[in-house]
Amino acid sequence: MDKIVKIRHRGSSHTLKRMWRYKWLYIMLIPVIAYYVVFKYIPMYGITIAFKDYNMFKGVFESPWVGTDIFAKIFKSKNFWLSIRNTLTLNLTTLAVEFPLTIIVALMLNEIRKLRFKKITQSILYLPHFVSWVVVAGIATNLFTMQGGTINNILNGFGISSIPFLSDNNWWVFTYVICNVWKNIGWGTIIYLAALTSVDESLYEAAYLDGASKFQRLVYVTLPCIKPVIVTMLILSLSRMMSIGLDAPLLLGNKKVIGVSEVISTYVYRLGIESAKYSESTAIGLFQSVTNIIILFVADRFAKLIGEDGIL
Amino acid sequence: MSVRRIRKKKKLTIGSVILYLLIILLAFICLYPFLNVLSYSLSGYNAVLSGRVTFYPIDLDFGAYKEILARSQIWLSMRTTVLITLMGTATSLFLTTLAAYALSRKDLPGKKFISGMILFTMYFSGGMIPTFMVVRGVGLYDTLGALFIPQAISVFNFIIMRTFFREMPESLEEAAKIDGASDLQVLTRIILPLSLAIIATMGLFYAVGYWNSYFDALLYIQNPDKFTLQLRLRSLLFGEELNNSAASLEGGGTQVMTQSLKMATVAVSTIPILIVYPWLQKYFVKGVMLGSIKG
Amino acid sequence: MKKRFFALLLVISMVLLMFSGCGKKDQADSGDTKKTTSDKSADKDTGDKKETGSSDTSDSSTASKYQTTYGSKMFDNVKIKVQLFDRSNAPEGSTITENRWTEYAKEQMKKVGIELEFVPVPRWDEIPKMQSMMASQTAPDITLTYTMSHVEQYFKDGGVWDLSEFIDGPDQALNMKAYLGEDVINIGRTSKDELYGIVAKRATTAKSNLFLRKDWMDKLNLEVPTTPDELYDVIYKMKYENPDARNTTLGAIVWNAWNLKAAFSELVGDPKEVAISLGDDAFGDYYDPGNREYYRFMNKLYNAGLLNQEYYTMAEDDFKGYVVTGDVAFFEGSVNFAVDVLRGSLLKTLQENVPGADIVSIPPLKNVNDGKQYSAAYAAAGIMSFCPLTASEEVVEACMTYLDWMCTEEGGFVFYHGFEGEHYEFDENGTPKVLDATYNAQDKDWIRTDIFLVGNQGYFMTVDDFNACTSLEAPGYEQHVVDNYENALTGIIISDQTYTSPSTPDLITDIGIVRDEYTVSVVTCPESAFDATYDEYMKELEAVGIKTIIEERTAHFNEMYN
Repeated sequence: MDKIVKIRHRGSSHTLKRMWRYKWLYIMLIPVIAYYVVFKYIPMYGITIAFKDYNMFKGVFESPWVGTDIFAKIFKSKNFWLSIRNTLTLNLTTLAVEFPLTIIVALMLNEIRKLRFKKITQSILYLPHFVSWVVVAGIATNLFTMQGGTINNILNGFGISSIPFLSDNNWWVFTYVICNVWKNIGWGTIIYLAALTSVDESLYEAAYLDGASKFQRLVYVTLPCIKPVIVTMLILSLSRMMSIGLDAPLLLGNKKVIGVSEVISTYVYRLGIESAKYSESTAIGLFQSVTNIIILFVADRFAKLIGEDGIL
Repeated sequence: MSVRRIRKKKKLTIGSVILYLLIILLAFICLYPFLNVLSYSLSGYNAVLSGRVTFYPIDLDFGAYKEILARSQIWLSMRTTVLITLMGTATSLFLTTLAAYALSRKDLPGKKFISGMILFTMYFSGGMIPTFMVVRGVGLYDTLGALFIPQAISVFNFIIMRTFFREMPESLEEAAKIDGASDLQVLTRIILPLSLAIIATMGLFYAVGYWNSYFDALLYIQNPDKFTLQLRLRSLLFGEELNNSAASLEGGGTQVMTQSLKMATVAVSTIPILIVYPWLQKYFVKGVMLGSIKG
Repeated sequence: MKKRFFALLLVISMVLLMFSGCGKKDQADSGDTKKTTSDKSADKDTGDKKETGSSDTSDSSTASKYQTTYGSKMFDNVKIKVQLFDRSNAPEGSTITENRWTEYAKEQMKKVGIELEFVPVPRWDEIPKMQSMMASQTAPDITLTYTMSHVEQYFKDGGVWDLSEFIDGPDQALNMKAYLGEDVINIGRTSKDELYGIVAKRATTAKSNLFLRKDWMDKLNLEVPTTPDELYDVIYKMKYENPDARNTTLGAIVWNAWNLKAAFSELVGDPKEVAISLGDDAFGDYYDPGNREYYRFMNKLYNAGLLNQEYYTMAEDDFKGYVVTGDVAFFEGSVNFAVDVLRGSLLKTLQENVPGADIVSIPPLKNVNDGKQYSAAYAAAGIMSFCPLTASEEVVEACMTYLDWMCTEEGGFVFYHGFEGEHYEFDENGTPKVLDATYNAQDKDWIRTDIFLVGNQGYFMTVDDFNACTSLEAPGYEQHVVDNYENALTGIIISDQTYTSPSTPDLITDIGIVRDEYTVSVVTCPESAFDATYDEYMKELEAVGIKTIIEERTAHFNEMYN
């Protein structure tokens, strides 16, 4: 391939001239920026609710400031810290299992040659994503309960005594992870499959010609080509460590395993049951955001250190 | 110029047998709960209540579907949802692609600042009420626009799309620019045709999001003709498990919200969107691009 | 560039618009603030069966400022917006806002110069909707909710009308007072007698029942148990000596424990003490030593294998499943649970699966301390209607008139039962008897609970009316229904009460977590560990501040009862 020489303009109005060169790009960004300013930045004053004794009739601006009182109140609660610990535990465990599995399944799907088969199985694998957690929790109970649960019945048939999938703290985490993996794995492969289609065929052929085995092609061609996507997804997942959906822990959890199932989202949900606690939930949300963004910076920095682009 | 494909011998190795078996197992595990949902929705009342239904219907009964689909409001709300899914996906794809492409160009001045501004919103938001005020302020209250304009760009999707655009070989852009193309032309003539896989993917993600929209409709819509499908279906159900059951003791309503009805609701709300995927599958085909660079 | 400049201009102007719109909105000044002099001679009501309350005397110095008895004032085309819950169940040809019942209401209101408009809100998710409407000042003039505590908070924050000026006068809201009664109206008052909302009257306060498999009882020649120990024996025998030789029997499911707990309570003889211990299960567990014995009983049941091993994972559908497959011997559930058509006619289904089976409710057990029977009952209140401050005073006056009208027979009775000859006929006792249930369901029942705001479960002047009428709605099981309602209110009634102490909203979250965790661990632990675990529960409750709440409640009720 011929080398292409870039001609650079140099001059005193260097930056403005550069910007003019990219004018189309800026034009592309105008609607985007307008969108963000109007719908995301203008409402941002709402964050101050975390520092106020919010009265919805006075509005955000007229409600009195209370500084960090709300945070102090929240941080005093033992259960708040419990919910943080549980959120992190559940998220990290789920990530550790789900992340590699998703990639593996994507790679497996990629290897399938029979197009018809591939299309059909892909569609089936996406189904769990669309089934609501209410249904999943109901099915999980039927499967995993000790008294009459399908799985335990099978185990008993093999002479193994019943396992408390839903009532023992550790086993519950296991069950939670399994349900999440089951629900998310199919859908999660979409991104990787899209990435895999972008891998240059000719690279495979070059490797084949060089005598690489299937496995070697996988390791030396496929994985490096989708590495940017993997790293991006990993950073994104890590940067959501402090957040967790409400449905899964609420519906799968029960009173016996509160010690592991009470997470930030369920805690906020409890807060809001009696009366809307805007200040508290905004404060907790702020706490989550700050923590997540710190994790993001760390993960991003680490990614750059190992030579990837990162997100920022 | 086409690249000669080296035909690989098609033989059934142990490896591929195991592969196929594993995938089939996985597919079955994923299929089972959905079959469960369908069976419940098509089974008779007693069978469902007594827990006899597993993955095929017992006492076949279309009553639950009749119950749901006979209501014109359901169809009206489905029309609304289809409309916002189409308009929303188009809007979202448009904005996200612009943002992702522009910010993927390495030398763009201010790129870090603008990207940062976008990323910031993934973490910090004003909350439900201030956003509501803005939506009302710009005149979107009780309009379909409120269901897709404020939600148009998902930062997650933006980041992924940007990653893809970054990975496009620079040589493509440079070759086009030498021929005198502007950035806009590069995007529309070169990049987009080669990014069908990612665009289809993002389109799918957005479409599913819009299809499931219910909370926005709850907040921003007053006219019941504009309720979305999910909002209607949700209010048809007798309180999901999340609801505070004290309110459910009022003894109201005249319908028995059986499990069949609940499951039929799940089915009605997901089957239409499932049909969309196979249609998009053709964009996920391998080897669409890149021969053009050789030589 | 021009584009950018205009975009910037647009953005700035929007920002300015935003800021001008934020903050407190002045109380809406509707165009119709012109007050008309009450035209007392123009009584628009026609042929009432009930008295609508006397029209005012012509002496305006004794007439109240706001006239809220239906018919006592002719309004000047005042428009009011009333919330209406939408269950997405309108039959073909109607919509939730356009159907014969809304038309009927509008017609009746037009007669007194009120223009009625209905604002539909999805029934589920009503709370977030209400909150966003209140916060943005777009809530309807009559807003509804089932959660009173929110309204009380809105009132304290200064966003809701004090209705006492509209209701308390001797000539105001006469129909409302006649139908709801002072007690029910007072439920919506603060401790300073301000009235922040009108609650609906419950047709019956019957709450909970103990249900047993009668066929097994007969086959085993057992007497109806009257004490917890006897109950234990009965359940034990039903499971381990099952007359049908079933080995899948579940002994007991205690879905709600209201009546059972009453049988162990030590405070139950003193209404004041009971009131202090109500409000949340944790309060009773901490304040009433009898609750410990209740949990001990449950622990005994659990360890004897008479409860589902993972009963805390059970969903209501699973519970119903156990009932209809004939697997459960005893359960405590809501008053009419076994035969209620709206809960799925469980007994009927059971009898399809197991012919000859029968489930009956039994009278409450005798309290272990004083030997008397106690029944838990609901507080007399249901849905609450309130007026946000965005409504002008004339609008509020009209709203109260609408509610007053609803307390008349033209209003509530028609909404609930329909028209004579079309939907019902009177039987020999004067009870309305349904003519054609399917027709009623299609034509009227789908909306009746939501449009009728002042009564829960219907327009009935007395509880007996309700019982009689309801029994007719479960054909084939009329006697069961009558028995159920009778049993549920046998003995001394312990009513719910609706007081929430000031510290409760702050502390209840953490208390709830402790309560949820320990109410399960004290039941599932081995019998020998019970007392230690229960002591731990008490300690944990103290650690999250339950004493503060108990003290506040004690102070409040001491004052109230003295």
